[in-house]
Amino acid sequence: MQISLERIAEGLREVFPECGDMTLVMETQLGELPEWDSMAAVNLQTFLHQQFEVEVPLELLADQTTVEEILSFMKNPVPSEASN
Amino acid sequence: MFNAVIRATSSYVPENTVHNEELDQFPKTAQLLISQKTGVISRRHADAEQCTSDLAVIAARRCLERIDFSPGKVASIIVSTSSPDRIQPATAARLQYLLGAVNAFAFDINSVCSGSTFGIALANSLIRSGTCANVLFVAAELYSKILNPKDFATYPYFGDGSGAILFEAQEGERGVIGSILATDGSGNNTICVPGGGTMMPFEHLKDAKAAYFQMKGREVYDFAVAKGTEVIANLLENWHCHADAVKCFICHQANVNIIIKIAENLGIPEDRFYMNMFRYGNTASASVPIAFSEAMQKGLVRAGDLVVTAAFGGGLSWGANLIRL
Repeated sequence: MQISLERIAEGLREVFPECGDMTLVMETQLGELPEWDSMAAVNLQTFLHQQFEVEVPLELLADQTTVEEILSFMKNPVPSEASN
Repeated sequence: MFNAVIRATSSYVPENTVHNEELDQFPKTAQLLISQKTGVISRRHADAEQCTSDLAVIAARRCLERIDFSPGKVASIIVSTSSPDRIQPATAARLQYLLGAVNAFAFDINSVCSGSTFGIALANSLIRSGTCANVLFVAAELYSKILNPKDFATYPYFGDGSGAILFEAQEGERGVIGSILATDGSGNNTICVPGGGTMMPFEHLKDAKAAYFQMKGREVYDFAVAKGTEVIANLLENWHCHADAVKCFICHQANVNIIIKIAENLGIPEDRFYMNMFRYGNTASASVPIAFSEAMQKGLVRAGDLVVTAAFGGGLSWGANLIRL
């Protein structure tokens, strides 16, 4: 499946239905999402893995991480030690 | 006045053990976090055809058989559950039928994970008021059917199971000495199943996830540590009981880190807190009766010992009981 801002935003709305009509742009930080916490990070990691077969390290899914940074990683994934 | 004395306890957990490594819907790196965050290594899941009253009746039968107590002699059945068979009638009604307790009136209570402490206090009230000669209190939960299997914030931490306690009116020093119960309804959205009730009927569900159990983990952790500590301290103070006199503290088995923190706050060695969430996960209101029964069967607590039970959960609600076995 092609990775794009639209697809990531769609995924974020699926994982976080509380987003409602919130505008999701490249600069949106994960910490801005309603209900965001370390458990939600795993839910997002799980979703991205299932949809795009890319395991994003949990360290990257932090409060300050932007949608753009996730997109960038997913387009050019670098295996972390934790995911080996 | 008669006291509500514990005559027998029992528990039941389904045979199907699900280990963290089997939760392959989550990435391997995430699986490792489950035991780190909560201590849970495995949990039990009921069979697809089992419902909550099926779990309840096994614990109830075992409890009565332990002292050869005929189901026909049971005067009242209280079922604590936050995962009932159906919205109505009460899960306790089917339990009464399955058990053959034809002379018992039966009803449910729902105070989510703190239901055990509420149920014990209620059983005590029914007996002390002279309403019943005995009360069979059963807590049964089947969370595997109300959890979203893809939700890492909830699914890995809960398990299914049931526990039963038979209280009987007796004179003397033994029995439930005192209870503290509390609710803060401003937290009613912190732990909930949003859909399926009258607030959000099924036809109004925008998202299937709304029909599943939801929990704001960080808020719950902070609440549980604060109120768990406070309620035990107040219970001991109200009934002039020193912590050293208590043989065992049996808390809701939500998370090993919560219990360790409560023990630390109270200055009580953590080895005096019974813990079994490693094997069963969080069995909601059933966790205290299951742990109580295990502690009894292992001989960790005996007749004459003082025991404190404490629990905290949805509502938000919390409570504690001081009991002399």
